[in-house]
Amino acid sequence: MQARTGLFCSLFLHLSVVLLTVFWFGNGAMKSLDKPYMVDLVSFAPAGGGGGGGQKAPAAKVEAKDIKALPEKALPEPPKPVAKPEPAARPEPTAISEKKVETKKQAKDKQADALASALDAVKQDVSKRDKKGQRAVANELATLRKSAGDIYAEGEGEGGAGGAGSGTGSGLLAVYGSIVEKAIKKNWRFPVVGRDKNLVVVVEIRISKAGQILEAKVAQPSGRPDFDNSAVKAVTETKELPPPPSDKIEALRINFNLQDLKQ
Amino acid sequence: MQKPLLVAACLCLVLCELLFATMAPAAEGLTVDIFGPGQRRVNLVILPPRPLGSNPIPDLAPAFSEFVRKNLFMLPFLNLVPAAEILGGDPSRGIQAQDIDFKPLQLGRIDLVMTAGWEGSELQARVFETFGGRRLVGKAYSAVDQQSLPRVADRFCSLLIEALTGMKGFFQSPLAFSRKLNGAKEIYTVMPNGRDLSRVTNLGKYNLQPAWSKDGSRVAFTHLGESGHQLGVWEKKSRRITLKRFSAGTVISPTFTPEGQIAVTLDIGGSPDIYILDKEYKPLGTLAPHWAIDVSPSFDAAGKTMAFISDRAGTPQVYLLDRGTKEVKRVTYEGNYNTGANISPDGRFVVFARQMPGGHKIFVRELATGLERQITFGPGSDEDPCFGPEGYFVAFCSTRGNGHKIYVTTRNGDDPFVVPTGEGAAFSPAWDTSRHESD
Repeated sequence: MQARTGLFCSLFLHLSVVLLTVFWFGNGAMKSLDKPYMVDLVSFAPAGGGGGGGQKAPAAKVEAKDIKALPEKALPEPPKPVAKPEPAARPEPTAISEKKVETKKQAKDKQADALASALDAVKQDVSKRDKKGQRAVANELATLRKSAGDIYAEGEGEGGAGGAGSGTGSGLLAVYGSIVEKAIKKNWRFPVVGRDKNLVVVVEIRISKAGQILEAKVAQPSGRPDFDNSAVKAVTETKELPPPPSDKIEALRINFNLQDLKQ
Repeated sequence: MQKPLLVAACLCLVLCELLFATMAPAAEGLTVDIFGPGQRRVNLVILPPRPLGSNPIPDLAPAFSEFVRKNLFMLPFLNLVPAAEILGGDPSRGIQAQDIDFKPLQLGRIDLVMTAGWEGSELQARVFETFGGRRLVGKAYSAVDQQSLPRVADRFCSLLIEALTGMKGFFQSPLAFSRKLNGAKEIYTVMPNGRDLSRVTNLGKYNLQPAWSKDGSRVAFTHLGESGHQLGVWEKKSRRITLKRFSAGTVISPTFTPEGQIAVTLDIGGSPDIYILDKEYKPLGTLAPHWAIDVSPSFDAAGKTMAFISDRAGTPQVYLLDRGTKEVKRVTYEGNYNTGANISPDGRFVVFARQMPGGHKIFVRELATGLERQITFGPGSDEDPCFGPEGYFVAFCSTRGNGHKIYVTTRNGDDPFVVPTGEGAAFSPAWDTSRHESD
């Protein structure tokens, strides 16, 4: 009886593992891996100072602007012909018959009407394309969010290797990490003389949803107080970061390495 | 049959739990790595001197601040901010941390603040970090007068550099060099800030290629007189010069080993080789025997490695000799004419001059990684590079200005400054590295 139970358990376990592998890796995770590459491109919009909470709206706006900008430039220079006839109306003192003025006015109106209708047509076309583009971007984002939503949430996990340099986190996080790195690095001042020993201080930062730095403290000191101070000072002087890509990100760990990899 | 079902149900539950545990979002956080500061200079302000007691500050006081300012101006990791630029003016009531309001300094992004207090000939000088008010350096000097004032300023600046970077000896390590005056070339010494310019030789003709002993007590050089080459050795303490002639005519680029012996290129065997000499300056043997020409030996502080120039591959290139294994390794492969090799006291870097289309330029090579970097640019020709005691500053001779002058840069290639050496052309700088201590 016991052997039977054991066999049954073993069979069940193996079956569970096989099914789990097929459904888990086969359907979900593997498929969604194709998408994050597209998330990277879209994620520049919120990182560049877009609204705090949503990645959707700013990304769509960027796309819409691009589409609008092109056809407007291609318009047949409407302001010029409208503006040019004005000097012709100036010579008030000279005796020009009202008829002539009227016919000129009519001609002008006709021209303006034609231009206006052309402009409307172009605008309609643009808005159609605009809406199409917006829909496409929105659809794309929705798809991305569906597939990559869990990646946003997982993010850095236990705070291991991710970040700007290592880039093992999601695309959005990696880009955000890179922006944070640039923002803080530019305020970091410390004498660089090319020591053979590297110094590393880990600073923990608490940030608001809007990206404001609420608190900075040394989590792991380097052993040199002036070096630690320089790192905290760099964070303090930075004051504000772009809003994080996920509301759930409330803390950042910054590893300040004295040695520059480029040198 | 119920039992297996129960077990299976339990297992299923455990598996589900495991599955959800992996799917559940982990704690949010992001780790960002920053490699190297964005700004390599820290901002420092020197506050006006203050009286320590009831007496007014002495006339020397502003001069001390000025000496310090001139010294610190040379350093590529400090940016001096005029005190007039502080928001709301001088934020201090005294010279101690509790007397300074650090807030306006922090707002002005000033990192360090220096104070000086005087009571007659007594001086107290301090440097504080504005972030937190921590004292970085504090020193009291007594019996300060007009004569000792520059040296007091140099000593204080050395302390500040050490506190900031761990490097020792920059303002207290003299350079020896060859100076052309009235048709002759004589050996001189000078501090990198131009202080204590002093003549070493008065032998006439040509005295070239000086090199300090590792303890800073002697300078060896080549004397090219009426009767050919001679090895010259100057003793700092007694100011005595010894000249030694060799049967072989040529004496090129003498230098000291860390053990105090002299290594010099002689052409005893028909081809110029680097020989090691005993205390009586008798050749003991060659260090890297080869039929080719070997010159410019240079040793690290530990004496493990010798860098030198050899044309054994057809053109002058930098080589390294491992003194333990006697193994010779070629270091440079780029360029057809690499000369003037000098190894840093810690043995990590070699600096040398490479012939380029616009003249010679100075390059630094990290020996462990093989990374090479050009550190001098601009007009003219840059030659004869040598490391300072900290292995960070590099002195070299350049024609970028009017004639040959000595300049100092860093191994990062920071903007060079000229070393005031007085009238006449200056060549072949050699740094006293006796104050070298590993960080």
